[in-house]
Amino acid sequence: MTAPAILVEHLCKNFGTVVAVADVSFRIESGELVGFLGLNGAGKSTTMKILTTYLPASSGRATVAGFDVMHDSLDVRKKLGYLPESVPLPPEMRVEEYLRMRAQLKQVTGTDRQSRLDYCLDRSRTMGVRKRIIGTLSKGYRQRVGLADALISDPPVLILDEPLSGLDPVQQEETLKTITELRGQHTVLFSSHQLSDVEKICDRVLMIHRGQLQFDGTLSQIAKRTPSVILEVKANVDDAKKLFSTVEGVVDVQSASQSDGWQCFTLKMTDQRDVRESLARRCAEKGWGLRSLELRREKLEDTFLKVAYQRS
Amino acid sequence: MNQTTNEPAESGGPSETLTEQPTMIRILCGFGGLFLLTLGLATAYFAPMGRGLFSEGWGYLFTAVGCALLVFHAIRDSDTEVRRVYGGLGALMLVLAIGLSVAPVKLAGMDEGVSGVLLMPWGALAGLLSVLFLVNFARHETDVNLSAWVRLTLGAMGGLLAVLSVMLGLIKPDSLLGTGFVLGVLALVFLVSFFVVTDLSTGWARYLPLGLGTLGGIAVVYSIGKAIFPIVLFEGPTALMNAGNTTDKWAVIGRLIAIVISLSLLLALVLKQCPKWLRYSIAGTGVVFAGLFTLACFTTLGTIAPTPYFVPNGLILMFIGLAFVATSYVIVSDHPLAILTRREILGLAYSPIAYIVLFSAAIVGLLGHWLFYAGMTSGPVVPEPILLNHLGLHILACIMAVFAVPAITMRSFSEEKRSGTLEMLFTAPVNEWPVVLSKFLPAWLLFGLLFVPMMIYLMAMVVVGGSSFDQRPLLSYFLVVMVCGASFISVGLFFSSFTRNQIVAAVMTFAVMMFFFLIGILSGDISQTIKGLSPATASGLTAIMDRIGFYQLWMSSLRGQLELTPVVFHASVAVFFLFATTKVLEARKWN
Repeated sequence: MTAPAILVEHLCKNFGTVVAVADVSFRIESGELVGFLGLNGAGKSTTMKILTTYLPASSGRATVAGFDVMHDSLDVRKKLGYLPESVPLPPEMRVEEYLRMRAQLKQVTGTDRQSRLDYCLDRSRTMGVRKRIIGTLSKGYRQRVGLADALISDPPVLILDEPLSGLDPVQQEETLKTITELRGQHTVLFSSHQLSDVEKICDRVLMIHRGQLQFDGTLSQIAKRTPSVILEVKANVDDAKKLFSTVEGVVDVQSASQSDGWQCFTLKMTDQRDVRESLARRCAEKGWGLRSLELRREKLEDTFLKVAYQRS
Repeated sequence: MNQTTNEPAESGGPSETLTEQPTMIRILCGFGGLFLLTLGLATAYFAPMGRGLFSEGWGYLFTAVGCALLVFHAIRDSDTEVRRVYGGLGALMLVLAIGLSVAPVKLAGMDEGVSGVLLMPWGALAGLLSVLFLVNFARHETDVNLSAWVRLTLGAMGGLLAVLSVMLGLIKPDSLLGTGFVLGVLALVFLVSFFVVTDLSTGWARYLPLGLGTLGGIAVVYSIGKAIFPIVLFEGPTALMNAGNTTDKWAVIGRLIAIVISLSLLLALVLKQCPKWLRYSIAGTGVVFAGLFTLACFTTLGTIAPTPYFVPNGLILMFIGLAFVATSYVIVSDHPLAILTRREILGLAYSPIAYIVLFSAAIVGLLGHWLFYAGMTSGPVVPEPILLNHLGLHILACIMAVFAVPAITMRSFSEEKRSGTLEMLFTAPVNEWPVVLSKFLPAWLLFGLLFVPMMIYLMAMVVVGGSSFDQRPLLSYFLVVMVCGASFISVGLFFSSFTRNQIVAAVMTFAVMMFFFLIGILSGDISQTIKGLSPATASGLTAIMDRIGFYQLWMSSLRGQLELTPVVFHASVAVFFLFATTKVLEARKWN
């Protein structure tokens, strides 16, 4: 069996008394495209910095492409492409000079170097600025040069810390497209605050809150979570509750009165079945007014907010 | 479809790209430099006729400052018109340099015109300026053909000068002090500029560093061989005898060691990563050297005693050769140390601090030299070593070092920490020690360059003024200065690795430099001030402080003495602080 691209076991990191990462474990197989979500200060960047060997873990273990980040740090770095959040680049160098230097540093040898350089400039859409001095580039272009740098050695694992921040909507769209194209060739772990974008391209999502991993699952898993039905009815609350709880599959009924006298009910389901038709029929039989009936499946955003509001 | 999707930056809106706006530099350096240059040239021309406000010396100073400002403007301003004007100026300077160096000129007191008399200093200076303008033009120019022509010129000039300097060294060794050395330095300047702006991975350009290295290797081997073997072969077996015609045990052991060292060059055959021809050349040199050493044990060759060669001619040729070899290694190697050193040198070349420090060194050197020259020509005759009276080499140089070292080193790690580029560096497969050494070597080189203006003034005094003095103390002086420089630079790097604030790093380094300086100057006073010391303890304390402080050390080296203890002390300080710096960088990984 081949080693997982990224394996994290009981990872902890303290900065003095501040706990940045507390007992995080996950496993990413090669070729996966994984979104890493969390509020600011949740521990995303710290976890990524540990994976890139820049920071040591306080305890726990992490491997990248089978190499331990603590003990085989050089081997890990050979397998990694990393785009840090702030994309620090030397302002006095030219884009091409810088990328060539990075290619040499990452041991991209002789004949491959130029073609690899051209490929990365093309992929990150920086071909047009290859001769420019980095200090004069805008944030969006710096971000792309950083991406080209991460790709330059054709690493099996890519760790991208907020590759979309500071980009305009068009650039975000383009960068997302690039990242999607990298799926399969590279294992990609990328953090972002753009939930809708993550939802668009990722197979799988990790959510971290206050240093702890709160969710690890695929998007289809989220979608498969039991839906709820929301309906607005004009009826006596107790009668309606009694009636709805007899419907097969409903486990919980909650109500909220609305200002105009209508009642809003939220019905939690045990499984995926759609009970809207039977609910409508029963309301009609009772002669209650019914003005909305909706089956709501959980979205990434709901999961994220649930995680974020937990205990806070 | 959206048109901007794959367009280059030039077509993007203002939010997408920032324009390069070197307005301040254009006004301060461009116009200021032009003004000073014009003023300086006019002053230098009119002052000898007794006209103008300033004297001739001020004219040269204004010209120099003006040129420095223009070069800095050329580095920073890549506007099409600006860069092309400077490119044209560079080309003009090159033509001027070649003209000045080649054209036969008849100076006052000469019977007929001699070519090459103006090489020093005017041809060399024009050449230097032309490189500085041309390399920045090639770097900024977007027209492929134009910049390719400039690159070709730089490479061809560099190659030509390199061959010329080594040929001169082989054929006319006496011209090495002066012409040969200057040509060698110019060759390096041209070639390094060429390598900075050229992609060496493809085309004919990739053979140039190899050629340079080979040339340097030949120069080194020749200078060593020529220094040793004529004497050894002339002395023959007598060198191994005592006065009483008995075998001198120690001389024989020495000879055996020399043979073993020569044969140890055969080990080069094992180096798998070297190309075959290089391995065989090194091994062949070893065999030839060993053979000659062995031959000299049994027979004598030559009847006339050979003239001493190594100091200064052989040494200069060896220095040029080693510089060529080192340059070619730094350029072709894919070792992280070489890659990072290239980047650091580039960073230094594009930062103002290196120019400011070098310029200050030139001024300090000028002051020191002027005091020295005035003292020599007006006062009573001074016995050798007269260099002991050169204030520019001791007290002024010490003070210069105290200020220059913090300026050179403060940026190194602090800036990388502040901007976060250190994170980029350490997430690439690179260890700590190449990173530290790649900061150390260019800074050390720059420290060495601080003394070059002083040497040029001295050389000009010998070559142009025709005065001669005992140059050998310069050898011990340079050795001591470079060893001390290594320890200072490593201390500076160490403090710089601590903090992300350059000023803090500079102040801490300055404090240590001051300590080193003052403890050397005030050693006697300090031990006298401390009460209750026995005379023996006091003198011991003074000796300790003299060896830690560098002032006494530099003074004694100017007398031609090389004290081992303080040299070893400073070398170990360097090693210790470099080691400590790698540990500070590693410390981010400690829990």
